[in-house]
Amino acid sequence: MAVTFDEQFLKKLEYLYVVAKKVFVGRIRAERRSRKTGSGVEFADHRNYAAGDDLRYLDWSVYGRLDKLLLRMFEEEEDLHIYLLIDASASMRANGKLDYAERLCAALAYIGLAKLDRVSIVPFGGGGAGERLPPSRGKAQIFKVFQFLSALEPAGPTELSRALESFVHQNKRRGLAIVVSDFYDPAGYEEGLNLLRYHRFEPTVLQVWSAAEARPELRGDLELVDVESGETREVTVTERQLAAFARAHAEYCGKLESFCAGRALPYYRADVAVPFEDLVLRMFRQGGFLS
Amino acid sequence: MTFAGAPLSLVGPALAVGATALVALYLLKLRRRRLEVPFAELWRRVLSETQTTALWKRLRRIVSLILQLILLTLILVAILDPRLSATQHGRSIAIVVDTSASMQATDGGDGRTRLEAAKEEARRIVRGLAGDDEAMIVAMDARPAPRGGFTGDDRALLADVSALAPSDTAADLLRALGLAGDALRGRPRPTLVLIGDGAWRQSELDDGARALGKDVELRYLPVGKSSDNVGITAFSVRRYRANQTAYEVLVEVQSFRPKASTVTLQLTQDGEIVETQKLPLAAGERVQRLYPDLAGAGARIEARLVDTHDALPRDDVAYAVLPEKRKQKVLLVTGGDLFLEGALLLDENLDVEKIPPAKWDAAASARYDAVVLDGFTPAAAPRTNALYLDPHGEGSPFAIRGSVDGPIITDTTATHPLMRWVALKDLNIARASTFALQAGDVAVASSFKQPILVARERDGRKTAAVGFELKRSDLPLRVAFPVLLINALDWFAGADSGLVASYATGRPWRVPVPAGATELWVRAPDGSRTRAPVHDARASYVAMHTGFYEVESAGVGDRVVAVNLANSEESNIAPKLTLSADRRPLSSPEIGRIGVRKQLWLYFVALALILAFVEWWTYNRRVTV
Repeated sequence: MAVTFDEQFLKKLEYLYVVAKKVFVGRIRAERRSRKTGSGVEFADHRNYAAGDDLRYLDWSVYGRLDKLLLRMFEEEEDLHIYLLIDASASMRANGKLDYAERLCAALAYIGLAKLDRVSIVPFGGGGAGERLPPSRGKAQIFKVFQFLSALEPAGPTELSRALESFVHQNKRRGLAIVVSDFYDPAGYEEGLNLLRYHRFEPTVLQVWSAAEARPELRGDLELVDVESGETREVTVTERQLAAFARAHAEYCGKLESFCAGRALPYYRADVAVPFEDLVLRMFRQGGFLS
Repeated sequence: MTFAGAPLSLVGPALAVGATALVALYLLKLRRRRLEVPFAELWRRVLSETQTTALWKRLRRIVSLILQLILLTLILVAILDPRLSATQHGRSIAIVVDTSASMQATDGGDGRTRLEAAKEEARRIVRGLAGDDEAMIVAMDARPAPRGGFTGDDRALLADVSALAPSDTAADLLRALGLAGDALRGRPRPTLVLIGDGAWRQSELDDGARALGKDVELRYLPVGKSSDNVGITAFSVRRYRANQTAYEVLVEVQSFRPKASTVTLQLTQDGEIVETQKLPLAAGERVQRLYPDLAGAGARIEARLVDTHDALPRDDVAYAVLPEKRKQKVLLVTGGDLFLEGALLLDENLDVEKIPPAKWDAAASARYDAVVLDGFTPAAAPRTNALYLDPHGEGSPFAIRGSVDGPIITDTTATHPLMRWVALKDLNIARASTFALQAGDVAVASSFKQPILVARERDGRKTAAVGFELKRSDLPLRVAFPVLLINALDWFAGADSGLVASYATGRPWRVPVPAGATELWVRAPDGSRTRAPVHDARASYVAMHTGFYEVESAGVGDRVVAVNLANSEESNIAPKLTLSADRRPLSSPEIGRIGVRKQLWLYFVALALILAFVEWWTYNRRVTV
């Protein structure tokens, strides 16, 4: 089911952007502004004039029409690349995980675009594999992002290692690599994340997590089918087995978190029950994103 | 072991089919619910830790199958209704429940009557019967009767108990004990349980206990608490002979209360109140009241105690029937005797017709209530009651044995109705015939064992004969003469034309049947009709409830009879909590000594339920899956 990016959603993005500006002011913004001014030739966007800005970049024609002081901004030579790697495998269909992941990606992309970073969306898994949203910048590109994300359909296996291997070989420009996935991959996630590290990307791990999967409400005689592999297994689920499964699931997630912590990779558990904007704000506050 | 339920030929195939179906169901692979999971790898890890081996799993399912098969078998065996056969070790219990009038007292607890409380006690005994015990229920009123034979079937016994109904009669304890004793004779471990209020005569209880013998264990279970009762113990009404439009009433009221109280006595005639009076009664006091010169239309008189609020309302009302006003038709056949005619004219309730002997017609005599034959003896006997004065010849109803000159009356039967208020002492008679008596004849007056005045009652007709000529005696000059005549005519008319006796419940009464009636029906106060046998011009009937009974005889007309409890022993409802019989105290029966019941289906069903619970529990706990 395609996620809906409606007016309400756009308002939330704008809110996140405003908050993001406050969080990074004086730390990143000044540095990047000095880098940008006078160093590029290709017009990118406008921004409000601030005291101390070079008057040469004021857009006088806009001033004449709107009576507002706007500064013309240009593409930089060393702009930041943000790669949003979204899991579109079949397992993401359950419990609204893909929907949640898409909203997360849209929010992060908007913030990145607004700050004139180059944002690229790379889906992996069966759904949307082989397609990608090429790096783009500027807030105007957000609708392309929406369109791209809406077109994603979950299908096929995760195969994280193969997807990330393909990614690092196709993208030579280093940057942030935000992996949004449930990390349900029988082959494991370690190899893939290590590949990103080895190729000098800065991986951030967003594990989409659902309580319904951590403690499923199953009981009785069942035939369990793996949505990705199609593998079946007959089980009689008891209370004891449910408890064992919950422990195994927690242990699995804990191992992922430990893996990230051991390698200084930012790790966030994205609970689908928590509004996505709350997660984004938490990421800002902890400085793990765009830092 | 016997089977009283469904036939084995039906249950056997049912077991085979059911077992086959169960096995088939277990052999079929269980269709599981298909469910998609996002990451089956985790389940694989979990199941590899917790799943046991396939062999054990199969074994557990076999346990479940065996449980189901046992369950099916138990249910089908229960349907067979297996019962243990009776042995010589069980008790034989005769439960004698008092259903007499006093058991209608409403002090059985929770507004119940004593009988309802007694029935509940009887049910407790039945439910507590052990497997080998057998019992029977006996209803004890004026006519004790068993409700059924000895049986161990508690359903039949409980039905017998429920069918017990109260009657308005006194309990005949002696007959009830005799009946139960006969039923218990020869049976193993005989026990007789008396359930009632103990309002029985001690002499009957002693005699009954002695008749039972020492083999029979006699127990007593008392019911009832209160002695609060006031009742009408006697009630009669009669018309005045002289003025038949008026009547008088005699009522006897007795208080059985422990303290003084005042009750209101109300007399009604066909529902109309004719007298009301307050009666102050001391504790245990019995008062009699005569209410003279009452008048009114209607024949049904009721005496009712209102506002007594006692425990036994049944004896607060009594019934009586006012005799009808009717003139007696008398045919006088005489050649002329002023004394005789004058005596008959004295009674205005007589309709006398006089004819000379020449006009005698035997067939026409049937139209009269009585015939007086003065010195005339027809060849054919009259077809009604007859008084012969100086009969003679072959036609005499009493064979004439001889004659005696100047007889002296030496013997009289004072109890005979003819002799009421009559004295024949010093009677002067010139000459009298003596009669030869037949069986059933009564010598009312005799002279040295020679019957001179005789009476006979046969085939619904009454006949009396005076063996001397009136004119040759001084009897017509005596007061006894008209009295004797009236007595004879009264005797002919009925027991007593001025009083209609009310009958007591539980005792047989014999109602005089009008001449010519061959069939007689009795309609009880509840509307039921019963045919009463007619013998010797009287119908026999036993009424078990108080009230007005209508005696219907085809072609002759109806007659109303009043039936009352009129029994101070039943009205004295003070229960006896302990009793002794033949100087042995009677203890309570051992209720609740429950053994293995004969009917085993209950145990099979209980076992099946337990197994079903075990199967359910093990299934839900995933032990047998």
